[in-house]
Amino acid sequence: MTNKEYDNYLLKSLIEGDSSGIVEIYKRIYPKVLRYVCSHDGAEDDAKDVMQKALLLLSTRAQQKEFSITTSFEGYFFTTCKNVWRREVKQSRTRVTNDKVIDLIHEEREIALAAYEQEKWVLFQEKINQISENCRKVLKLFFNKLPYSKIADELGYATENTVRQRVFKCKSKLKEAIRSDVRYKELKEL
Amino acid sequence: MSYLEKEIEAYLNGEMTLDQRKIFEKKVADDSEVKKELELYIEMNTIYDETDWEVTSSAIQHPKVLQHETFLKSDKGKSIKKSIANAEKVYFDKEKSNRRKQYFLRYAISIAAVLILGIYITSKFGTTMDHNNLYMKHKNWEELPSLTSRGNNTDLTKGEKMFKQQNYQEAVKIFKKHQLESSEDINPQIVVYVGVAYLELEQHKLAIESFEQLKESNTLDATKAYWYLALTYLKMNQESKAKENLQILAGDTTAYKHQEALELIKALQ
Repeated sequence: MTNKEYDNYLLKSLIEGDSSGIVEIYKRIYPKVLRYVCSHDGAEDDAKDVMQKALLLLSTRAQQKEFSITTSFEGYFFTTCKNVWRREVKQSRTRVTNDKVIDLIHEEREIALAAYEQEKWVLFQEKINQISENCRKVLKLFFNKLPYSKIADELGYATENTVRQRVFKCKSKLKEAIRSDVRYKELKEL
Repeated sequence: MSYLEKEIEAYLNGEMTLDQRKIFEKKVADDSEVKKELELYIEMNTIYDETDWEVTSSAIQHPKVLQHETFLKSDKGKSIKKSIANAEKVYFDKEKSNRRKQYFLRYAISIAAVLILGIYITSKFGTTMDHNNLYMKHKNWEELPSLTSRGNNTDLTKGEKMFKQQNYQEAVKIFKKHQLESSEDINPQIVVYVGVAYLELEQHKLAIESFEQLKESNTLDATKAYWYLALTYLKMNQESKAKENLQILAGDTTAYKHQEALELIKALQ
């Protein structure tokens, strides 16, 4: 089996619910997920939970006809797991900071929402990769909360103000790219 | 760059006064386009932040979410969920048994290693013990000819006395001094005493030197050297060299300690 064929086999197993193929996914990716979760404030049980949720989530998304993976299955699935864990962390943080009891949504809805968020996330990643390399660099630093002065140092801009203007312009371009994509409209419409 | 974009930026960066904020928020509430624009900016801020995640509990009614939910609740969705649970079980059971296997393997290897080491040590130790026992059994310094009988030389008497008291260090010193002062070429009996003293002092190299000296000496006692060398090598746990010397004695019925040499060879086998 070539890599591509193997990747297709793994995805197909997930779409059809073939346990033996899913075991293969576990073999290849679970150790990485465990390592990732454990190095990001999680424990072994969290890693198992993330793995299950991510598998079900990806299977759900992949039921749609238009779904496709252009990168390797392993990379794509691992990213899904990372995002699931980030979601878990964010939610537990919100639960801790909010005094009021948040109604626990049933699992199907939880996965459905997570799948929807994941789709939006994928679209946004696609879009940031479509703008110019320079804009992408500036924005990635900006969105990850690096101060303007640091961005100036990192990318060799003369002043903070130049960076500010650059960020503003690039954001505007990126926003346009997202808004003009049909998929964004689909995701936003109610 | 539109004016609206600047406003949004200022709003999100907290660069507006309280009044400005109120005016802007009203604008957002009244104009759905402005609202959408602001939302997108907020989405970008969250989605592109690698440490954050946009949780959209407000999208419950979105057709896509409903579609996903319907699928998950369907028979197919449920069967896939079951398959995943099943795969998890298979994977972890296998891993557990692998771990157990690995554990057992490691355990087995440890036991084997301990056993092998044990056998090695006991055999090594055992032969050492055997060699030592044989050495102890066959060394018999009582039978060394008395040096006193050879005259009234006080030095030699004193040396022999020291030797018998097992003060080998002192004995060697006295014998060496005597040899230096003596006009005799070589006194084989003194050489034997010196060699044995060194042997007892664990100075095997010097012991061998003495016995080799005896062997090379042109005296009647020269062949006795083979016996002493054999004992020395035995003590040093060098079986083959011990045997070499013993063979010489064994091959000559008239040799010194011929019978004992034969016995010792037999014992070594």
